[in-house]
Amino acid sequence: MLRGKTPTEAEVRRLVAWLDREEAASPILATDRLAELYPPAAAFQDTASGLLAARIMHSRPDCVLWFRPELVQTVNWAGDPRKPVQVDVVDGQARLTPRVSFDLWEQTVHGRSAPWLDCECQAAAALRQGIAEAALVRLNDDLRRCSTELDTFAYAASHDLKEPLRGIHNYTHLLRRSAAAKLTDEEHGRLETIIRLTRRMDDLTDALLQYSRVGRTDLKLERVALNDVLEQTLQTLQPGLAETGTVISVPEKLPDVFGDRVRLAEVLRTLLINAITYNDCPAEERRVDITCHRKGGRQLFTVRDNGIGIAAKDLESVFQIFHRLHARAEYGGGIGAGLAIARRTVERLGGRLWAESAGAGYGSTFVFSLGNPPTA
Amino acid sequence: MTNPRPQRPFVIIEDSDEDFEVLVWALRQAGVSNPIHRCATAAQIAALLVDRSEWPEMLAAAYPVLVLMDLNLPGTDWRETLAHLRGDRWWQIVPTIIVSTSQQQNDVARCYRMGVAGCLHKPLNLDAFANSIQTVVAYWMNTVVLPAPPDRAERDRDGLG
Repeated sequence: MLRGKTPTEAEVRRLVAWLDREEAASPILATDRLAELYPPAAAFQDTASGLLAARIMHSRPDCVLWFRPELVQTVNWAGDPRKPVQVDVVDGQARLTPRVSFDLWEQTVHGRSAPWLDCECQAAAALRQGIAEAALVRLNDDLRRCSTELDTFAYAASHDLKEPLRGIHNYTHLLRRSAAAKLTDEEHGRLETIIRLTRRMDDLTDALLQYSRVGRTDLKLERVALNDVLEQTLQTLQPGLAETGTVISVPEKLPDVFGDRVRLAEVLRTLLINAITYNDCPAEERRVDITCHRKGGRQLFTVRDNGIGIAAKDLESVFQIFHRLHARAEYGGGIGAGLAIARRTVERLGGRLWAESAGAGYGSTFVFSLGNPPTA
Repeated sequence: MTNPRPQRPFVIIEDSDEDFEVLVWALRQAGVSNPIHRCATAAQIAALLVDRSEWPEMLAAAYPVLVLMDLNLPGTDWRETLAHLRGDRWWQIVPTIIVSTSQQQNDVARCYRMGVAGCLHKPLNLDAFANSIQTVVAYWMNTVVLPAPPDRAERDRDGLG
């Protein structure tokens, strides 16, 4: 928005783009000779030789600009500095002689505006601060609303997708029953495939529902004996552990934490199932270690396995929803949502979840922190 | 299944034609030969609950055995529908069973708090669904004693004639 006497909008846009490129240390730029910093400004120096610019936020082009017109200044010199020094020859010797003319010499200076006063710069800084805070509040609100909307959307979409999906599934079933005698083996196989695909799609929509639910459901935050949660989780996983021959070791009792008991159990369960699943060691050598240590004032919980490991480039992508690194049928044919949901859960609990690995073949370690309890 | 009440209708509140057809199929598989009254729209629910003059003969003549109800029906709020069913003297002794996609725990708790006789989940598994319908039918039709229909006098007194 332009008000008063300013350069044209196109000129202002180019100027802002230039400001944006300048790595300014301060969000306030004040100059009374803009064209010296930004030569294209010479074209509009009559309206804007002076610029006071306040950039609202780093990395965003929004700014407030004030322009000052050129002030054709008259600088007074004691004598014309351009006048050559006068040398007289007296008695065959050259000697400097005092200037004859001490007339006041005037020079006109272009491309300057009245200088910006400190108080003006401070006022601009205060205004910038005020706008930035208001903008931050609005951005935060927008972000929260977007995130809620996205979750609501994911929830509604996956919920509504289920109805037609169920129709396809059920009708295929009914068709297979009623037409059984008439169908060739190949046709039977195709109906089977449709049914299998509907199941897969159902699993995907379930995962999406669950993922969106992480952002939507209320957390019950309390003191949780993580060790008890771990023991209960391990009990429910007992059949899988026995089948794969995985040995779980918890050398030290896990401490109490602040979080949501049910969500924490889900996170542990996901990490354990991953650790058990992505392992191709012979049955008797599979190991999972669960430990806890303090680092930088935070408790870090680690689930370390001696499984297939993760290549450095995949350490982040394992957390992407529906992103699988292995063929669909390998490693139990999961759908690639567990870690995405676990990370989102941990983040909602105020912590972080990440993966570490020395590379493929060297096992993986999943580390998570949790938020601190509110100080009373 | 021996059907002790072959004339008494089932009421099904369900907007999806496919889900309705599959539900009827599962009931027939379970040996239910009773007439079925379906409400697929908000207007049909209103007619069922409020405007009884519009009732079909089948429903007006005999007392329903069971209500099977989907929660999400466009244009209606299931809480209101359920409150009507459970708050009305004539309907409140008809067992109402929820058949829904929703697995939201708070919805389930709310349904039971409002007095439903059970919540069934619509799974993506036709055989499993047929089995649960079979169990429901065996329980309500052959195991428990159902209340007798309210007598004519009571219906008149409640203005339900």
